[in-house]
Amino acid sequence: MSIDVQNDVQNDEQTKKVLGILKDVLQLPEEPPYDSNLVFYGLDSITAVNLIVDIESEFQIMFDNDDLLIDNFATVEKIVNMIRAKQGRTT
Amino acid sequence: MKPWVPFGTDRFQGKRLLWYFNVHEEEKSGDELFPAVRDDLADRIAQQQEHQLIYPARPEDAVFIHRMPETPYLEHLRKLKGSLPELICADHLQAVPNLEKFVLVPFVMSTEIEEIRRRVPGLEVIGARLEVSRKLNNKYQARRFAEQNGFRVTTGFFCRDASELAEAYQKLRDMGFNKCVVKAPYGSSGKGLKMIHDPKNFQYFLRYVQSKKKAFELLLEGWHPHKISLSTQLFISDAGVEILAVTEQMIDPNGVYKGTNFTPRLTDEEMSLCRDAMIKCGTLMRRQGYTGIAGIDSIVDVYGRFIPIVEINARLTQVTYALPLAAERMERFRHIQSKIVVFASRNDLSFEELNRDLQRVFREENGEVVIYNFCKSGDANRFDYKLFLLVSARDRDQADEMIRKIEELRQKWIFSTECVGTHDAH
Repeated sequence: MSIDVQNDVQNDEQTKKVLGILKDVLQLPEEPPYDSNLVFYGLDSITAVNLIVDIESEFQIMFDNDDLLIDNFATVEKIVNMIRAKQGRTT
Repeated sequence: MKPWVPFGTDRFQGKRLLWYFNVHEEEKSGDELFPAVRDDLADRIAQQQEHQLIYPARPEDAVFIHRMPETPYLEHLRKLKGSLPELICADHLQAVPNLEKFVLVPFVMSTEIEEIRRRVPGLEVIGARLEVSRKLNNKYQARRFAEQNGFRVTTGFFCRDASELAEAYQKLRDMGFNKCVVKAPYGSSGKGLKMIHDPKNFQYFLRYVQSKKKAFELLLEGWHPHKISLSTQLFISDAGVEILAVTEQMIDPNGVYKGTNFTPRLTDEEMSLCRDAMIKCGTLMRRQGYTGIAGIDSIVDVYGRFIPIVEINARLTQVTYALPLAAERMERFRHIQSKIVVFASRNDLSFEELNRDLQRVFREENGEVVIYNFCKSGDANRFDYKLFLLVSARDRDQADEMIRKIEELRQKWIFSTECVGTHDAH
């Protein structure tokens, strides 16, 4: 992904909301870097429960049981893509 | 190290104890209101905690393990323990030859253990019948058990639909609780808990619950600001109820267990209240048919009120494993606490590297930091680590400073692009 495209994606409204939720859920002093593995920032099976509850409510979507693998939530990009897929949008 | 077994050996007629960490059989809530996120690496890490059973085991006992520790770590364990019990490594407990000659000490009673007990006549198991331990481990049943027996409990409400949840939350807010917790019936170390930090959090949770469109029962409790969170270790047998230790639990803002202070500072009055309540609780558990080790969680809130039963863990706990190590250090240090360090990293770090980093940092300290359990798993993307450390210091201030340095090391282990442990040429 080029830097321009990445900046556009990061400024996208959905991505901003996801970053805000992650900052709260992972109790980070600032939003996590867009392309980092969130596991390094404290995402685990316990914090993921809060993440899923907040994302399902905020975006009015429902994850399937098969979606609930830690790796599917490991980056902001993966989370946003899953939200878009659930909402019937593609990247 | 002195062998530490909280029960007399004479009743076993010379039989050896077989310690078994069946954490994978711990009861799970299984209700989809709390999404269960699968993490294979974390599951593998959880299983490696079985190595901690070497500490309560006597030299003549055996510990069942699924995977043999790597040699440097095994040598470290041998040094720490003095002499190791026999380690029996296999995929399944039933592969152990002459199982009937042992007395089995499982982490928790389970369907599998009941089945083995049925299939292997003569096998003695230290533990209650499954339905008894299952009932006591259920947070809802434990709360009702406490209420029915006249113990003070935390402020909370059972809710069966969204409107009851909303009403309960409003009541708790009106009572002054800023923070609340939703509890599922089962789940340990923070699993099965959903912390509600503020009204926005609650609205999210309410909307989430409503979207599931299913019948439920949830327990919503106010989060009591507390002066100290305690865990009392009991051994309950036909002979009576014995208090093995009263420890302080270190809990993070999400209710996740982070370690134990084995040397809590309690007033005489607090200690006496605690001991009386725990003996009463243990006696009532025994009357229900419970035997074996159990941990009872309590709090002293900021107003000095003692709430004896917040949760019952009718199984072995983290205190069970580290208590022998901590007890041994009490002669040399005034403050002893365990600290769980969890992190993921791109770096493939060995036990030796991590241990060398730790010992280098604490070389000049008068305190001591020991890795008493090292768990690691990895795949192509990352390595997960869980270190159980025992921090011994002259006082709490020194321990806090040591823990601050451990946190710095943790950050280094996570984000360093090089293996930090390889720099030390000495």
